[in-house]
Amino acid sequence: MNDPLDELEAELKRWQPLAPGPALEARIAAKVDVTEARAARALGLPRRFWWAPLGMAAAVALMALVWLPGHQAFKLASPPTVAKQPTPALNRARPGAGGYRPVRRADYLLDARDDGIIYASATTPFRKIKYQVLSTSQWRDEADNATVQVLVPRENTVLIPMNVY
Amino acid sequence: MRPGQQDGDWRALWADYGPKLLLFARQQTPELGAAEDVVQEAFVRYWKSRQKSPELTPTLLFTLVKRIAIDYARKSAARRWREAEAQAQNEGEAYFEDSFAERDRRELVEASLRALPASQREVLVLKLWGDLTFDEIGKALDISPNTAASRYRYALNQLRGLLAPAVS
Repeated sequence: MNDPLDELEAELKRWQPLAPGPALEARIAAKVDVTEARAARALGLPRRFWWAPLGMAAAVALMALVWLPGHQAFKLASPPTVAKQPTPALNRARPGAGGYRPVRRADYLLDARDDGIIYASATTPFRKIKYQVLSTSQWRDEADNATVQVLVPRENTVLIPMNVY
Repeated sequence: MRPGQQDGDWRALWADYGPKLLLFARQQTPELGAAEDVVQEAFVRYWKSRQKSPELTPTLLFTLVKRIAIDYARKSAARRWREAEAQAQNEGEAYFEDSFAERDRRELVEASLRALPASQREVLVLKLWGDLTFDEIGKALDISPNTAASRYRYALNQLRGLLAPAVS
């Protein structure tokens, strides 16, 4: 027997729900990727990775304290600490004269957080997103192949205007 | 569950469940942007939970959408919520994919769906487009399977009246 409701079910099922837009998928990707990175850290793998920047920064600072004051390219009036003055010191290096050349620069996304909706003006709401980024820069002295790496953690806040209906 | 969904590929799960979740969320919160926020929150929360408990089934996604939509409605200013609802009911952004030739028919189907009581419409959506059983619908909506089945039946009967000429 052909139930009229079966026909109706078939007719309704024929319609495919509208697929979510790519923007929504991108938002989920940002959240899920961070979630997965955290989950992996919880398993112990990237715990190394998580602390690596701090360890590397400490190593760079130590190396700077021990080595930089006596090096030709870093003849400063007073020995700097890398944490305070890495860039000015490196800017003194002259490529081609045994100085330091930048060889690598990269930003790593460590975390992204949705802080919800805020009202920065009377009419327009904004979605507030915070990104934690680790900026890395590496220089190499071609004369003796010594390298210096600087790691700078940053936090960027982005306000995305929203449409109100 | 597809094979890709078990080896940590969230995109396979998203491709399968994204459209269903969005349609269901739009029964809970009529404004499309709010529905997307709800779906995002539900999906991310589910995925996070599944890292710890891989046995969680995707049916939980619908439960999360329902709960988060309720929280969302509570948190949103009541005025804005009502305005959005009124606008969505009046204009009605599309629920379904269509071809140009079928646009009129789609609009009729969507208008008929919107005319149903929300409690029936959500059951209908979960059954037809979410591919859930009445048991699963009962768990997702916190109602008995029998209640889910009878709401589904009521919904179909009402829709039959609205869509009958074209179906028959």
